[in-house]
Amino acid sequence: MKTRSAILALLASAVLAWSGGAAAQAASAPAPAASAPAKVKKINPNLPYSEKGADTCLACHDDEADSLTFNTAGVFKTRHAHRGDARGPFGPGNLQCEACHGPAGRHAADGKEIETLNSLRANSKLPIEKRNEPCLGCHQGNARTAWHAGAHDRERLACTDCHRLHVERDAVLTKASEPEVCLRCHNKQRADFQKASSHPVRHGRMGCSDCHSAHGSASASTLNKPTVNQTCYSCHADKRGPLLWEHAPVAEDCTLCHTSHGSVRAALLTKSPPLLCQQCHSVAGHPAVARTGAALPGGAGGGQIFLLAGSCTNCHSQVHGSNHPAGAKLMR
Amino acid sequence: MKTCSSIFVLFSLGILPALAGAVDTSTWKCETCPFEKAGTAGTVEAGVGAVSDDSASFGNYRGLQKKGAFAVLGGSVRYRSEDGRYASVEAADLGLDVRALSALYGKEGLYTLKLGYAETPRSGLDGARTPFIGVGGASLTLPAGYPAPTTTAMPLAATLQPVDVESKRSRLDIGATWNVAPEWTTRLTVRHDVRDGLQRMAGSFFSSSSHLLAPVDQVTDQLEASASYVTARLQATVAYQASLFRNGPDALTWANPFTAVVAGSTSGQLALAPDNQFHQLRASGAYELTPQIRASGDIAVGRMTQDSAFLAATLNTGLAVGALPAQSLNGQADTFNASARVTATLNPQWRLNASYARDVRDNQTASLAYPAVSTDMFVGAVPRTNQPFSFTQDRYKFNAEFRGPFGIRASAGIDEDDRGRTLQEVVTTRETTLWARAGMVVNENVTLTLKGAHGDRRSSTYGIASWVVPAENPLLRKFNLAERNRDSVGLRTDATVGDSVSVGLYADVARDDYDQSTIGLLSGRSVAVGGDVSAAVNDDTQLHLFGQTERIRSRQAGSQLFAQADWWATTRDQVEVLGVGLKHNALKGKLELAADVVFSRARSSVVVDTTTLDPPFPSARTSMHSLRLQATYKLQENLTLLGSWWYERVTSQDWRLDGVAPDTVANLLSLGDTAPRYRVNVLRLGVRYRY
Repeated sequence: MKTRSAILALLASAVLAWSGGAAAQAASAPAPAASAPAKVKKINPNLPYSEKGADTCLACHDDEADSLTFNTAGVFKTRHAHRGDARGPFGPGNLQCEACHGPAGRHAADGKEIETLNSLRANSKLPIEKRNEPCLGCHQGNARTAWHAGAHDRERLACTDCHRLHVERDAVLTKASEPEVCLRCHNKQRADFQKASSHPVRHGRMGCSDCHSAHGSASASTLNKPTVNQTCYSCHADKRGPLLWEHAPVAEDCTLCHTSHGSVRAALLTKSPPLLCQQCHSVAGHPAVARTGAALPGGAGGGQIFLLAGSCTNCHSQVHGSNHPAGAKLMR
Repeated sequence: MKTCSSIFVLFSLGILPALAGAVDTSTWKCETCPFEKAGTAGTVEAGVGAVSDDSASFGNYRGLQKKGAFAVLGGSVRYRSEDGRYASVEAADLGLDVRALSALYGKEGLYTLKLGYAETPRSGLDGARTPFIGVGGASLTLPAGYPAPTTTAMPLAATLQPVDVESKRSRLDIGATWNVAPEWTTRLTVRHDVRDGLQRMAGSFFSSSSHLLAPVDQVTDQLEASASYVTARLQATVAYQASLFRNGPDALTWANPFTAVVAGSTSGQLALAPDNQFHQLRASGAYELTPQIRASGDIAVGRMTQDSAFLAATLNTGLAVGALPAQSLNGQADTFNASARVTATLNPQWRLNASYARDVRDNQTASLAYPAVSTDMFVGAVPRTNQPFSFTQDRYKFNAEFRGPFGIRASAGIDEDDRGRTLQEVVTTRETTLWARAGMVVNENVTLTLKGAHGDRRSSTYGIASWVVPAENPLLRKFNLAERNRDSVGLRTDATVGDSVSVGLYADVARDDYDQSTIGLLSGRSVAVGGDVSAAVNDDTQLHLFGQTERIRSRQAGSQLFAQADWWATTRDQVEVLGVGLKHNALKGKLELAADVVFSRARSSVVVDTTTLDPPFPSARTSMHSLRLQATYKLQENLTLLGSWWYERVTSQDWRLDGVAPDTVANLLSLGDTAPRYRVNVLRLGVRYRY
């Protein structure tokens, strides 16, 4: 109760702060956080820009300076370098390379790395906020609504930790290659997707963003939809119902029986039946009988139908619920 | 690229030109900039491939289930104009059942139109056989010789037919985005998703059962229309979402292959998924109250409905069955989802976060009494009443973050998860979790992160669900309702060696203890240790390794006598995964080589202790070896030779399937499918022409 009270109090105070302070802020607010020019100035307000813009940069950053993983001229194959886009860095009169990397006059003069230049690389000396400023100056849309409360913000990720700007195709924006970017950090999920039963991520048929919103969301595990089940129904709409005879855990949370990334068992099950079902069911007349190796083919025990092949689902095949008037036991 | 409405604002306010003007970019000609020329460019990829062996398991999601040759066909076309218009069409794997097409047209900053089409095949049952006639339709019949009292008495040798248990999902996506005004963006997305093929089901008559193949003929249409308003400090979106699911046949009827024990029980009927609809209104927004305080929230109101006509309670005309209380369910479940989040940055070191979320499923479906017909054989004296399930979940979170000198990062918080359910053994549960994370930069190249959490779930009194007939064992505790202690600890370290090597190592341990349960799930534990290494060996070679070993163990108890626990079972999973990837450029960039090797091995063991000497289960094992070699050789500037070899071998032993033929179990007519075992080679050779 204390937890809830504290959280609600904080939320309420935030609302009060908004309602009471908005007018005052309007008059004295600092430059909007999303202002691109302000951000560029913040990066380095006093240093000079280069003499000739991109021509100055490309004089040194040419093919010889490229590596297997980085190609300076690659940016010209991207939408960032569309001359017809007045909003883009290379639009008429805009700051070209220095729109993102900051004023480079001094760097061009002496060729030295300077801490204030925004390399946008992971080893940049700039704090994350500074690295992200040129990106967020433009890309401040609704996809980032919940970024401030998400795990990626808590981990202080920079935009360029996931996105690459000097390539024709940003890997994280293509379904087949997106997981490679995510799995660089989410190593356990990389291993999960190699298990015998998995969603087709390693097959290139699904991307992480089919279920998750990397920029944050309101739901647990930053899912695209408000709940786990709504996310699953995006593809498995046949399970949505409502049905006449519901199996309550199915309607509540798919992950009570299925693991989403990978399992050593068929159908992404967390455990094989009958043990999976016997965790929750043991009714009079049909109690949870211990099935042992005696019921294997050639064994002396009976009850093979309860153990082999589909086990419980040999009879209770409608485990996700049934709309049959006689389906109370999920057998029709 | 997510285009920026806000920069329109900057332009309209004259800020960006002012900045550019201050710099004076009039002399920035960008003469050496290798801009893409306006016009059309593209690639065409063509060739031939071959699969060495049939395997439903290997072909699953890949479209490579059949031995033989296939066409390698794909390509792309791109168009750009000087005025910001662009278009592209891409095609991949056109010669396989995983073909994909996408098209894009738009004008920078104004509008985008998208079109996508993709197929995903599903196959996975090797060696399935069935005697039923009419597979793929809504009615399964049997050849002469049926019914019989047991599977061994059935004429299976003469009547079993191999069957490919496959389905395919074909998905068409259409999307449009229109930047109506600098602050306003509207979006419309439509998805038409078709699934057709077969799926495994089972139908029983009391103590005998048959594996059946049901038709899959499902169409799901989804629509989302949204409007967004964005300024520097405010982002807001309202959206309408709809999902319309339609199923072709509403039932699968099958002839009973077993001799009827009760007169008239010669055929049965399974309900297939009924048509359903979901409609939802959703609004979300975020506002920067001050530069230090940011708040966001979402609210969604939805309704799920389902009103397909009921099937008959039984096909057995010999049973005296009362009338159904309704002709259809008229089912309706309302959903409500809302959340609010506030983040306050107190100073560069401290930040506070708080959030609240509520999820509701309110099932409004009428609860009525239905005739208690069991497997077309018996009619119970007491009708069964449906139990529309509803729940409410409230989640509260509060945490604080600290960033100190020397790269020290720490955060700690408390989460609470309160749930209320209807028609369950427990009315409410409350889980409180305390957690903390700490990270530090050990030196310039090494970071260390430690995290831990302790959760405690308590429930209202665990009762007896009197509406469950017959009743569950009163000592049973369902694991999602039971009282539970949950602990987890994780450690991760990342290191860089020079500019070319990065190493990440991690270990995670989690433990669940259902301390008040004597029947049901008692405990669970998982340990995962792994790591990954990425290295630029030189300017032309990149190497990547990853590996993980994982142990999962759970323990549960049961009662055979509907009394105290009299058996215990322990399930242990042991999984190892190891992968190596290599990329190499040779011959001054003309030759690109890539190799990927993945090895995974899983062993699952089950030990059931009944305090007597019962035969044990053998371990279930699966191992996979996968090797992919790819090479591209640039014959000339616009012509590239492509080649690849993919070898994959899977071996598995699963006592649930091994040795289980259609006639192995006297009262189960199974498909006799086997655990996946295959060794498949796939070769591809082709050329890519760029124009």
